[in-house]
Amino acid sequence: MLEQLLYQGMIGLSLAMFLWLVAAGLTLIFGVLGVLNFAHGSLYMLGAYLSYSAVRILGMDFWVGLAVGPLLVALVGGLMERLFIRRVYHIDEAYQLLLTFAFILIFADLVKWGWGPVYQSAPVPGFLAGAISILGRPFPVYNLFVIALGPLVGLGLWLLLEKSWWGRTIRAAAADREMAAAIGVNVPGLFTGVFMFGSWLGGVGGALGIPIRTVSPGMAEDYIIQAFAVAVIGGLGNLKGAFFGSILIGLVNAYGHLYAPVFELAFMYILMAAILLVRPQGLFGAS
Amino acid sequence: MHKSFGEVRAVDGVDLELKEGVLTAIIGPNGAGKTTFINLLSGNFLPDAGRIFFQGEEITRLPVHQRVRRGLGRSFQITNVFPQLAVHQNVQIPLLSHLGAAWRFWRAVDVNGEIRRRTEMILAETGLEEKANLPAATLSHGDQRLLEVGIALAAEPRLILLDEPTAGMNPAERARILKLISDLSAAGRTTFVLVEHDMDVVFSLAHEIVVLHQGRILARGTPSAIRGDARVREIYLGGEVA
Amino acid sequence: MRALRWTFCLAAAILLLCIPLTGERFYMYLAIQVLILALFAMGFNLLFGYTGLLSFGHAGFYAAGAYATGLLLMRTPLSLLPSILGGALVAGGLGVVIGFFCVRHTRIYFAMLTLAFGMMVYALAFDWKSVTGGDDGLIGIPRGSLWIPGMGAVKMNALWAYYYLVLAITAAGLGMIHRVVHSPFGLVLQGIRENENRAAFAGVPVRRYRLAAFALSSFISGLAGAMVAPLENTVAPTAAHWTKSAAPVLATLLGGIHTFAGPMVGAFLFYVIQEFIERMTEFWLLGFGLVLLVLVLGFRGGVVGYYEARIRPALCRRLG
Repeated sequence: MLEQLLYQGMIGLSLAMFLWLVAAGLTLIFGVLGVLNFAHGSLYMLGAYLSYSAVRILGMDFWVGLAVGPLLVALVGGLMERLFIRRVYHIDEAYQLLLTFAFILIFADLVKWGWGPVYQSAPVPGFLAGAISILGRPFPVYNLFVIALGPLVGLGLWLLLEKSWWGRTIRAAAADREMAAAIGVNVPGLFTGVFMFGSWLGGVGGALGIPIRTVSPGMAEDYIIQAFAVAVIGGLGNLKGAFFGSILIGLVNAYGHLYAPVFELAFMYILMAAILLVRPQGLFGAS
Repeated sequence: MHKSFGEVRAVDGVDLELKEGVLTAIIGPNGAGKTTFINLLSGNFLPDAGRIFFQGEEITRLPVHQRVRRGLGRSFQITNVFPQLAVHQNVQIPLLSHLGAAWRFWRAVDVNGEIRRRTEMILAETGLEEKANLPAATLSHGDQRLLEVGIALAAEPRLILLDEPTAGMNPAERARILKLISDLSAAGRTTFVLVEHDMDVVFSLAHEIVVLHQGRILARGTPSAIRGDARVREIYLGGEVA
Repeated sequence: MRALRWTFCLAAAILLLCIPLTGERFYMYLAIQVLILALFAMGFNLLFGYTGLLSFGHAGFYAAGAYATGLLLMRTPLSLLPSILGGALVAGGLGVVIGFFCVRHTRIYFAMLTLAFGMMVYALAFDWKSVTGGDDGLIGIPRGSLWIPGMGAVKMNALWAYYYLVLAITAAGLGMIHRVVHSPFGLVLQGIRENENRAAFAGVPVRRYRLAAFALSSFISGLAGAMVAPLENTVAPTAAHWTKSAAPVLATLLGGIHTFAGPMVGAFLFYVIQEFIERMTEFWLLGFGLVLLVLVLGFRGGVVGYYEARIRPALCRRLG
């Protein structure tokens, strides 16, 4: 019984890490640019599709595909920001939301056009294949790899934002756009860069998932809703909140799937509603 | 009251009593805590410590709209109107709310003659009758500041907090708003409390002056007393008070 | 130029009344869909254009109205009109519950929450098989009869009859919205949209007004959805999907957010564009996404906005 709980918990953790990568990108973009990118789940999906194509269709090595896909997604993100989102910074924020919403629609069909409506998957790379025995049951090594990667990404982000010159510049521009520009920071360029980086993170999440999650046109909407749930629980714009929120949602989904598979989504919403009532700014959000 | 933002003690133990009918001006150098103090009174911020009483009732934790209902009004330093709505609509909103008519959803706004009459009265007081149908955003800066005050007055407050009402105005506009304030103050229905930087305005209008410095009350008294106060002169002309 | 406006309204009214006379099922069916979307979009715009709250989850209320009406028609002896109203009331109630969580937050957070809760309704429609029929949805919803005092139960199976009912209900709904937006309540909503801080300082309990607007908006959207159930005789979970939420958004933007007639005009244009896109490609989402993109970047006032800014002044000058 306990073993089952712990085992399912580990499944939950590995799910959480994909969510964390999406949520981290979303949070970063919102925290710095003030833009809530509705299409972030679509970028995750693009990462999966592009890496999948690189590996399955072009026959590249898995790791090369893992590198290539997200970079292309970063490029797409950069184009999105530079050509479109930038034009609506100075008007009502509703239009930013409408713009990124339009991109969900566009990407959804673009993916269907490019790859067809089929559900696809890719094999696990060599040395990470197979399973090791945890608590008496076989647990895929790849999932362990993903679980380990999550906190590493978190650590990397923290170091980047807190300790590096880049991070300080980003935080300054996030806090006061005009002041940063006044002291010579190339704020528009910085914003594009941050959007690309956030997109890249989402793309990495998608790419990492291709061996264990099916690649399908419906991926985007699952992830954007869950990323929103993470933002509610952790606090919008808060990376620490996004990390722990992802873990919480991952676990809730995993346990929900085990005990009440029909209503598993309900638990996530109940959790959201509870947080909204009791601590509306999120567990880690500022009041 | 006390209010801190992180390390900064914006309002550090301010204990003040404002009397009805006494036009009070709150002055002090930048960073003295004037706007924070006003924000605490109006309900934009909650104090870390201390209590606020209005007409015998404690309002410390009361939300903004409820303070307004109890007769506490406010205008803002940065003009804060309803930009795309017409001038007369700007005044109608607080008026409707004040008269308890704001939940009516079935009949048109202007059907009620009382509302039309009162709107016209306020527009006349602020000198904006000609511009009644223009969108508020198209008004000149001075007219917008007057509209600010008009909106605050529409709810018939007993106490109105004006945050730098003459900010950015030319002399003609300033004269209009000063006349409005002094006429209304003399009429006795509303007590005015001003935060001001312009000393001419302060000394010509105020019955009583409160000087804030570094979040604390440095001095208070009649204009002539403040004028003669050495400490006040020091903080304005240079040299910190220990 | 009041005369011009009345002319348009009269022309539209005559056109709408005469459509069944053509006898073409296609036109009647299309007209019903336009009317339903027009009501849906007007409900949506009550919240967006007038109160300043952008919701991406309104399909949830539309679907709630549809499912509730379907269930009432299938499982209870209620006649057609009470079932439709019942569906709308269920949607309105759902709006109160969901709105309660959403209206306490800033506009960005609000938008995010509405999308999430809208998809919750979708998930619920899928999962709650015993009530909603799950994947397949509700099938075999009877159109029911309209109970007219003095005439008894009138069967509404004829499309033209149902068309007139939809027209009547839509007109009533639009009339209600018209009264509300020109009332003190409507003015306060606009004040909240323009400057909610100032509204609070005018003594307005902002949150309560937002909730009221949300409830009314979801009621109207539910009313629109309720009329779909007897029309199609089925309701499926896709009615609650976020792609369905895009329809009123797009219709409203097409027509014009800041005018009363905008969403109605936009609903008509929506179907025109949809026909056009469907002839060219199966990828209608892509088409709509591109249209939305163009609107947001360049034509934020929509068609009616463009008309008011450019065409009407010119027309008025010409006509004296």
